[in-house]
Amino acid sequence: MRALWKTLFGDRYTVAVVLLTLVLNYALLRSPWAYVAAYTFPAILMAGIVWMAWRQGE
Amino acid sequence: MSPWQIVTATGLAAIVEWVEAFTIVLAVALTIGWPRALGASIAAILTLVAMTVAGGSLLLAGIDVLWLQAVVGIFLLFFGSRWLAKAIARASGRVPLHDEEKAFAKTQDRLRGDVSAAWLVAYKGVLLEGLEVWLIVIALGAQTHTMTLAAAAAAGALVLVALAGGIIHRPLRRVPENSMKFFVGAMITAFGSYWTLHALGLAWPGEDAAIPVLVAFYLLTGMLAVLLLRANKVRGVAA
Repeated sequence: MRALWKTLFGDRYTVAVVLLTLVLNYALLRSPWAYVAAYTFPAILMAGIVWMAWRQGE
Repeated sequence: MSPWQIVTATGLAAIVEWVEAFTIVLAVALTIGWPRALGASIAAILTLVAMTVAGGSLLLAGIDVLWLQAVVGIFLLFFGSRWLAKAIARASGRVPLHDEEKAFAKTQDRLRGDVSAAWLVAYKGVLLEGLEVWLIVIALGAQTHTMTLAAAAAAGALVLVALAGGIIHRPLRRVPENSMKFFVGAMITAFGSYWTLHALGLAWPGEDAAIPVLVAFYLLTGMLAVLLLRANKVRGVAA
């Protein structure tokens, strides 16, 4: 079951990074600056990905 | 989105996963024999084919396009970000590169003598590695109505890996797995970003043309991250 969960969603860090990126950008999309999400979404997600890569070696 | 983008993303992702599955099947085959190991693999592949047919029909049967985009997009983000992070960590030397010889030896060690456990390891190995391929086929294929093309790319990758494995009878070490994972991770993350935000109501600048820009962004920033993490590691060693 754990292997299936990991295959579908990854570990808790992946889930946290993706959900945090979604929540932050969802809020932005509901604001008058919605168009900015096209730039902030990839930037925030990439920052999270780099953090995930960095913590793999810890 | 061009059919070539779908074939490239699905085909490369499938090669990475099938190579890992082949390593497990080879270890099992050398323990309990090829007929049983192949039987387990075929059973797993048939399960995946049944899932593809069922999943494809369900997804194409009257689900709202925006919901489909959102669900598929989020799944691709889970997948792509994990692959990209892993590829960056390996390319920067923070974790060792995936070694098929090592994985092969580890699987063989686990199996000694237990026939039913070995059969199950081959079945589970092919099923779990194939599940990732299945998700990508369903996600990319259903969204772009190119399910047959995506499934054919995954099947083609399977034939390629099986042929190469059948010829050399050893774990496939020469496949540049990490570079492929890096590229596919960037592609899948780009597709996921595009569809998720589109489903949430964003009008992407340039519409579909935003996808190659996103792929380039994830690739270039990923390479930059490799350099930074490598430099950080060297400084850490020197300190």
